[in-house]
Amino acid sequence: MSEAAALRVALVGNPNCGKTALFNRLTGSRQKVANYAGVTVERKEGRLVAPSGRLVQVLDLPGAYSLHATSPDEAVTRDVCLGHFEGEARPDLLVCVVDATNLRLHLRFVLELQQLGLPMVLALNLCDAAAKRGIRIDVAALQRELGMPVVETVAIRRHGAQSLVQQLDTRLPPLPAALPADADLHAEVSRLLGVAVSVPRRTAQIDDSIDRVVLHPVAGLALLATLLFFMFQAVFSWAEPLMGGIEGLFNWLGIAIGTTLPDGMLKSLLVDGVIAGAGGVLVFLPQILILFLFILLLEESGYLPRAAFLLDRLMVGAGLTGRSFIPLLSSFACAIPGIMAARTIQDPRDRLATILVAPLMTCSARLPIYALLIAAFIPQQTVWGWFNLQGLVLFALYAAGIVSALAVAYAMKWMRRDQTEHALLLELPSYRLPNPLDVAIGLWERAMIFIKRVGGVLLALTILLWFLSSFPAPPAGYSGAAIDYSLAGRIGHWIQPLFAPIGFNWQICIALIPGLAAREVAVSALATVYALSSTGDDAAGALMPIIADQWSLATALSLLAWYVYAPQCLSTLAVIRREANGWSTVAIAAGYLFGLAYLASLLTYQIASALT
Amino acid sequence: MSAYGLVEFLVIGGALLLSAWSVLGQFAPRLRARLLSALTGQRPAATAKAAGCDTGCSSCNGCATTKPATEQPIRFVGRQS
Repeated sequence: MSEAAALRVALVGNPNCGKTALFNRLTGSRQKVANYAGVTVERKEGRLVAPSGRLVQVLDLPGAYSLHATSPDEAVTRDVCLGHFEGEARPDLLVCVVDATNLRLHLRFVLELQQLGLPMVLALNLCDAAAKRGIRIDVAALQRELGMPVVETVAIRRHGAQSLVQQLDTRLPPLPAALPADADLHAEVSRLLGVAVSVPRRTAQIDDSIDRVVLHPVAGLALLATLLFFMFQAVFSWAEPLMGGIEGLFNWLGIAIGTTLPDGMLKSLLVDGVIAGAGGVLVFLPQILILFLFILLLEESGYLPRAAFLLDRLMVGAGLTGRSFIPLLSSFACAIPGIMAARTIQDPRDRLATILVAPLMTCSARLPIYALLIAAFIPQQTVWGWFNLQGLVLFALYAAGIVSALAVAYAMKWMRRDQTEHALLLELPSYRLPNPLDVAIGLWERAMIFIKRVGGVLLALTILLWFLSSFPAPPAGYSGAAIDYSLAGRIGHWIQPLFAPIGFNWQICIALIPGLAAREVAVSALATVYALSSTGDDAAGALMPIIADQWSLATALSLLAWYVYAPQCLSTLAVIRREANGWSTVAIAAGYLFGLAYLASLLTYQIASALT
Repeated sequence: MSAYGLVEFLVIGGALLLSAWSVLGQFAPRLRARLLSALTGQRPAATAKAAGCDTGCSSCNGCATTKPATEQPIRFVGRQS
């Protein structure tokens, strides 16, 4: 069947009702889902073939509370539903996804959508959770009152969307009868709930009792700090045996290839470039997975919007909004989805401020650099009888990023004339026990992303750097390391005077350049550069002991400070240009981040040099 | 040149070309498309914009959008007096 003849279906509904989970279930996609509002900020498209062979094109739209859009992501939903979205035909059918545990909120939008004059189907999602809580929904009555087919779905179950697929495979339902334009939608929702839904009083009791602690202004903040602290401790404590295993594997591989191949460029490429470089980054996979294990657990449980609520006062004081929390939190994985998630922020000034400070959140690409330097220079010892010193330093680096982001946001607030503040209106989802399978899938995907990145762009950049660090080859009789004679070596020596005041040697200067493409490349670049710098037989030796031996503590601390602020990777700058619609914002972002990085490194190096 | 030398040359040359091509595709997809069209003499096909979902960073959950990401740039609107 041709695409033109396909049934065009749009999934619409309030944020966090499970549209994307349902979209993934219907189309077999793997779009990100989480237990908080605002995960989807763009329209996504997928296809499914119904049992009869009918082709259905499914659009997953950002969540919206109303067709009166207040933020850019809501505007996408409104425009698609109204047929005003450029290059997008109006859907043939709206599937209104509602959270069956929270119909009082979600039905209001359904009534508003009825006025669009499009055939509609209501998908009662999370109906298993509703049944567990004792919420009884008379589906037949709801169907009769709304004038549209109502199907029950459990998007996270294997066959949870079966009834919806069957509904999509039938003829289009008739247009639902819309309420008058001036109708009181809230009153109508109350009437519908009275007719079709029975909610026991104890439904929200568990959530309320947990929230009394979690949202407490003192206990809640203490709990949040403890959680984050524990997370960073675990990153170092739990990962060590696994990292040792991976490191051992690559050492063995380096020795095996080194002894098998004759001396020459191919051996150098494989041992000094591929194994020392890409292998040196892959070692950090366990730490990245442990960090994401915690993030996934927090996402799934419904805790994250509570954290946003807790930090709202702090955020507003610094010139941001509580809504900035989710974009900033996403930036811990990567600044790019974080910057795009800022579309959920209505006020353009708040959105711009969030975009500009999002790069200060410590993205996962920085973790290999931090982990390398901490392991090489910070002794592994227990302090105060309980805490791992390396974990404490990592926590401090993440905290430095957060504090710097708040300080920069405060400076922007101070400079701008408009001092208005926007109240935070945020839906707090019910708590859920994280599904171990979902968490396992999330971790698997994260591992694959990292491995693909190492095997893709990182490996490619490492090979190019190996070439630049190996050619031109030195003339016969040259006594120094070959890399000194190479193009990369010359560039490193050439720019080193600029970085001398902050303690960077020429090897670090070389690594900074490919590090602009992707941060982790700095680690593989250092590994390759040091492997090629060696004039002895230990060329494939691990990077960690080499830098521990050759760098001063002041240099290591200075490089750590650099990477708290370091100018962003090129992809991040490109996204800033796109979201801010101009190069001036990119120039501001890159300029202030570079300035802060240099200043922080200068202070760190000079103070540390004076003290050590 | 020995047989091993030839293999070495081909492997290293291939790896370098592939790496350069891959890096270009990641960070300058339009330039790569133009290069490809210049090499093949065909008109360049539409390419995804660099960075953002399904392009540059490859660190999110691998969005599989079938169209380039929609732009929603910041727009400041003056206050109505």
